[in-house]
Amino acid sequence: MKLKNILGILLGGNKVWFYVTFLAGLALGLLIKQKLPIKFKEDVDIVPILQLIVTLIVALLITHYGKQKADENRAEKDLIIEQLNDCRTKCREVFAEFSGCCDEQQANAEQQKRLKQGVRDFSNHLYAVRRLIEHSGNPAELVKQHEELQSRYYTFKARITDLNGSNAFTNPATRNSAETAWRESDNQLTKLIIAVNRF
Amino acid sequence: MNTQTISVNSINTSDILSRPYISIAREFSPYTGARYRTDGPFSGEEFRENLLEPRFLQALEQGQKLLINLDGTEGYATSFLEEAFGGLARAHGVQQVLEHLEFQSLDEPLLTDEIEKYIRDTARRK
Repeated sequence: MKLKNILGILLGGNKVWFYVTFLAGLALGLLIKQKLPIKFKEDVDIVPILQLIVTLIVALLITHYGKQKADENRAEKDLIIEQLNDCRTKCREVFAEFSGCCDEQQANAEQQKRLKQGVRDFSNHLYAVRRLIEHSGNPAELVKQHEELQSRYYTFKARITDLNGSNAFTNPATRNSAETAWRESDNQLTKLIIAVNRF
Repeated sequence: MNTQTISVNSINTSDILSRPYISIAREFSPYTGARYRTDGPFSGEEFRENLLEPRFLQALEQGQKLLINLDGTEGYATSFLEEAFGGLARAHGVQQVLEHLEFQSLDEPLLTDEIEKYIRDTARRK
């Protein structure tokens, strides 16, 4: 059984403490009833009771639909964050592969293929994120942060795929500039994840 | 005769038959290279001079858009795309190039945005 009431939340969903607190409350109530002179009116007016029932029903409906909406929003956010984490993983993998090529001061055909494929996967995750943001109604802050990320991706891609002249693997600056581009992409991914959680 | 068209990425197959069209993987190479011919085979410069520019001029003459299929390759280096499409924009103007090129990319949909960026960037650099 899930403890979805206030007490459950306050006790952090701990079942044992929930029952202990519940029984303690019941015992305290019986004790207070015996010790204090509390009496209920015997003739009860129907109007306040009906008002109370209507208020309770309205409160339950609001809670139910509000929770449903909140759950839907959470699912949307989780989906976007999942894609962003995939972006981050791919970005890291591409840089690791690239860094290995820098160590060897060259990239064979297979390594070049993996680099291009990795960059393409990164791009496709970015596209998936954009589609999800569009489905969420294009919130301005998310669109802005995604555009920033796309811009960082272009820089990262350029550092990884343009390997001639001053950008050759034999040049020590090649790895540094790629690392900077990777870190900037990674930072922007974090910013976008935070923006998605705030949204 | 009743002709049936299949829509692929919002472009009909009948369009491909009637319009100037390039499939980079089939007509150029699935393994595209870097920027200049001096950088190695299948460069952006080679693609622009041998294939893109002649077909682009053909499209201009016919008053049509040149459809470029980007699918089927191993991927594109930034320098290849910049030299091919940015280079075309440097020679024929950003607006004219944007108006007469159309892209198809199911493998990597974001490529279209990237190429458009390189075309527009040529105007900023001038």
